[in-house]
Amino acid sequence: MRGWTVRLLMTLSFGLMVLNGCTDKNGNPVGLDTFQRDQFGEELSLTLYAAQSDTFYFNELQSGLAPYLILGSRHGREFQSIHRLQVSDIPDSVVVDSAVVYLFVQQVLGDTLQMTPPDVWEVNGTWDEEEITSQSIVNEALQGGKLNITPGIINSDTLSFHLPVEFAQKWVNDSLEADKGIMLSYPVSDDGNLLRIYASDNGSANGLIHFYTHKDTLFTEKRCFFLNDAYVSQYNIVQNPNRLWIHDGITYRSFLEFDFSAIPENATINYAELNLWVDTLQSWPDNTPELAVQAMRVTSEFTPNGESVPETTEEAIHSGLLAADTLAMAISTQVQAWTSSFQENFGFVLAGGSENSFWGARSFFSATADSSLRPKIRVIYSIPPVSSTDDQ
Amino acid sequence: MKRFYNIFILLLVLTGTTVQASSVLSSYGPGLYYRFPSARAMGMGGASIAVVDPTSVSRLNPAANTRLSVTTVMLQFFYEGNQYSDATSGANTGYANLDGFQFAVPLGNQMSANIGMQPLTRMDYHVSLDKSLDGFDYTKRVQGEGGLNTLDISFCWAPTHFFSFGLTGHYIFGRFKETWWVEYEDPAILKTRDVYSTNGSAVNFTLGFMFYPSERLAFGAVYTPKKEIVNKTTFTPVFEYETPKVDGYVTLPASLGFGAQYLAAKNFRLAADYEIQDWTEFEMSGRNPVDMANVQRISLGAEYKPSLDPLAAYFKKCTYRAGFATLPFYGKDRDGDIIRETWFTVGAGMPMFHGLSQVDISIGFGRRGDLSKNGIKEDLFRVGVSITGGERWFLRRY
Repeated sequence: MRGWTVRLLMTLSFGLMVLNGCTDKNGNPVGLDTFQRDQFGEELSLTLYAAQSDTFYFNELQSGLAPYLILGSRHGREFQSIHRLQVSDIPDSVVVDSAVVYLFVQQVLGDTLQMTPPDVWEVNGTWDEEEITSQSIVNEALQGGKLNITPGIINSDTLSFHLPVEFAQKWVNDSLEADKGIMLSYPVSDDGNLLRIYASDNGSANGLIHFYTHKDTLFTEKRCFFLNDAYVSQYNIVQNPNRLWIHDGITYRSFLEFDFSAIPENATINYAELNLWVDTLQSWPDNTPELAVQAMRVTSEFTPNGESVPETTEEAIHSGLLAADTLAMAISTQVQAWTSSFQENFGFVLAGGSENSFWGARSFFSATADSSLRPKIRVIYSIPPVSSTDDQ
Repeated sequence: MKRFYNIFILLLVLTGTTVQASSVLSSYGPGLYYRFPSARAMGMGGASIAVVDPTSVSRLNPAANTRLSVTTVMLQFFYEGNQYSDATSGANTGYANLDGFQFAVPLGNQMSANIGMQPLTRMDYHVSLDKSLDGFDYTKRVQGEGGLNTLDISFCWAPTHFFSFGLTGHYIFGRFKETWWVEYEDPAILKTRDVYSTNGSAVNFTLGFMFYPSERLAFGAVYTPKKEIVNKTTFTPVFEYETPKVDGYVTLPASLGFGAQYLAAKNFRLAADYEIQDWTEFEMSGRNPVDMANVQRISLGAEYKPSLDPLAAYFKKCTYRAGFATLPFYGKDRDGDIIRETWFTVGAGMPMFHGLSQVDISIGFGRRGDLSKNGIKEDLFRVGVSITGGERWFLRRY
């Protein structure tokens, strides 16, 4: 009899589990009119405009290993190039007649008809192409006297100039000195040109100096290629600009900050889209092709006081593609992280999608613009209802 | 003892998987309050406070179990079909599952003890709303599920032949989950899924009394005091950000019930229940969004057994039942009107194994609400099956 009880219960239990599987759960939703709650939650949309603290800045650049050098000045930013060579296989008994520097231009940003010769300076001391910076040039007094050059060929392919003969003669006479070099720069300008020059690490079109010498009646020509080169540029910060810039290749970046405090912490961000409007008259060199844009989260408090640039994540948190004259970038997950306090909102930085390879810039209207052109984020979010059982 | 342990664990697990009732009304308060304690009681319209039977365990009145003569295991199966309709929509839902168990042991000297588990409330609803925001169409859905169960330990004693009393200790526990979705048609817009999960627990008791002024007449009374169920609620949105648990409470109002049983003949029993539970005292953390009602349940039932002769034909040895119940639903409609609930039930008890075991079956037809008055109507169909196995345990065999 006791065995009967166990068998019955086991059989019944199995049968009930099968029946349970046949149960029609979660039928089609009905009964909205009967459903009563204090709150149903809310679905809302909100347009947020960038804070006036938006900032346009340049990251400090230093590159001694890149295949190209950048030389010139634009938007208040100055790029200097520094070049090293050895003149060890020219006899010091020769007389230098002429020394012509040739640098080969890969691309010019700006007006090729308005190209001018650079300022050229003697380099004092030694430098490491991987460590040299704008600051180390100053600290180590690398920049020597300015050389009085004679311009040569200056076009979109070639930049050449004659070094002072006495300067070149000194190099030849002092051939045991390993480090010789020149530094090039342009005066700081807002609308100057930027030259992209083949570097010694490029493998082709390496810059060089032609030494034309003679001894007695024997005239010779000797080519000395630059052994090392680098370019540097100090960071610069432009506060409350009328335009924000994003520039591939020379790291124009823009800092933007929005106040999300109007969105409750427990809200779900269904959609957040950043909108920027391009000032097509200033895009550089033009408005094509499409420009990849990436957003990087700022990781610590940034005070736009001109003394530092924002610290950002290395990886982009979101990316978008600039089409025509606007940028629409979905940034929902980042806004969610900020509003739900996963991450503190220090703002974000917009940069070119390929800062080391592409060569182009876009100018966006900043927070100083009219509201129709001002950077904005449109947020669609939902606020949960109050639970029916929690203690309010 | 090991066998008992295995059975207990099995029943515990199965009872915990009870499927919840499908009704938007279960969104009121703590969910649909459970009313019919067993298939036997269901067959009599729910009248069971004063019904005493040596072959079944009373889940409502602990004092009614003193006359159990053998160790009894009662297993309850429950099915409900619900044909819902309102002014604009309708739905058919159904559910079936194990619906609790009782294990009772007579201790001798008119004492017995039992342990059991049964659902107390059930919640299962699913509503939706179509909306638009800034030109984006979306659907907002709310789904609730869960409920409260009670694990009971009872003791009863009949110190005299005309009086008995019992005490049931309840450990009430359960979980409610309410999920809110916001789903946009545009796939670029992320969905919202907010989940409120509430775990509640409380300890309460029920006092039961039985009076037997004569062999034909019996009166019963049960009282369960008001109790606060302590809740811990967590909120988890779709972005998996879980907030700290929030304390709250749900107040279940006290209930008081009276019942009477009259044996018109040895094979014909009449029973009636009156139970009152004032749900206007119900609170959820100091508030309640729904206007509640004072529930007064009236149940009437009859039970007839054609023959008491053990040698009679099988169907003559079966017990046949019919009943009626009426009560207001504990929540009022939006206009503050009572939602009336009415039941007609029939049932049968089929003895097995020389009367020590029995299978009880009940069928109920009910209606909750009125389409013209309340704007909602639910036609209900319930089937209950109780299997009661009786064995002589703990008796020395010579």
